[in-house]
Amino acid sequence: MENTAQEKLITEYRLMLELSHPFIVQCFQGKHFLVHVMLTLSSLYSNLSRSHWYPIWLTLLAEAFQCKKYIYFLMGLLPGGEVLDLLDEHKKFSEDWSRFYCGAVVLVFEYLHQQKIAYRDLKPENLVLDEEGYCVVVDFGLAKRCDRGKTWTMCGTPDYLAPEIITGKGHDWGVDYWALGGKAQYWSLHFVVCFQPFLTPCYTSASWSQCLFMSLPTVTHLSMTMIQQKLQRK
Amino acid sequence: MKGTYDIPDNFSRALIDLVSRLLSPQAQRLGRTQGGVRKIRKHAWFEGFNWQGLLDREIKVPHVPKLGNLEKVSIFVHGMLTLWSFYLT
Repeated sequence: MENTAQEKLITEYRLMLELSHPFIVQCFQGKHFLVHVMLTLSSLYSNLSRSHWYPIWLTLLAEAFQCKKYIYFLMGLLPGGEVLDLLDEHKKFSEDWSRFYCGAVVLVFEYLHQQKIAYRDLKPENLVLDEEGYCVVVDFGLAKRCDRGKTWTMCGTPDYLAPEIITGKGHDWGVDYWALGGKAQYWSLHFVVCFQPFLTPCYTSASWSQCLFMSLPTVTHLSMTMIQQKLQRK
Repeated sequence: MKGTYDIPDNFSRALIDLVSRLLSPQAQRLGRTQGGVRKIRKHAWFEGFNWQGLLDREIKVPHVPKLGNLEKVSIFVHGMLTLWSFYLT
């Protein structure tokens, strides 16, 4: 169990090392001890816009931040807070605001999808502001390279799940645009009653989980009945 | 599989169009169809939006976060260390 979690982290880490975009949180790896100390001392802060010269003296060394028990991710500091907090504070974004944040996300998607990577976890919690107020995409735990066609893993945040993920017919980076559509609406509309196109009433609600399990083609009839019984009991 | 959603009255026409095109089946979804993400960038809702300016971080930010002292210090320290590393290399 621990091993798979570790492998997942390493996969995420490798993926992040390959990525370099002004609106993606950067992951650094120090070859020299000096670089390591510098980056740590500066509270893991790094200005993403001017990071293009980092590769000159930062090279890949996979063991650098892995000890027996933990794996350390060294990343740029984003002191601006989550977009979700901002949304809670303002209740609702104007279309101009939404356009700005959506624009940054579109730029990131353009870059990711060029490399055939599906991000798969777009939500306001995963957009973090840097010190100047530009939003940066974080958390690549669910990102996956789909260069060999479609992928079938069931993942994402229920509120932003595209129908093809739920039906299990195989999906690719197209799911990111579904989430973007959901988000554009969510942002401009936080205050109105139906503020998300497909709002999940509660993450743990039985009805939603049931609907998800029902639609999974891999679940056999027997196990489905068992799951349903468990859900109803709660 | 079917689903319904409401679009509120205060949305501009361009935004309604964009949202409905994004929330459509896999084969017709904007961004995934021919033209890819460029279709989104050229959509009417983004008309006049300064894409290059955003990428170069030159356009006005809607919200500037308030930084605590710790963040200010860390940014300053990083700047100093960056200068120092340039001096060393």
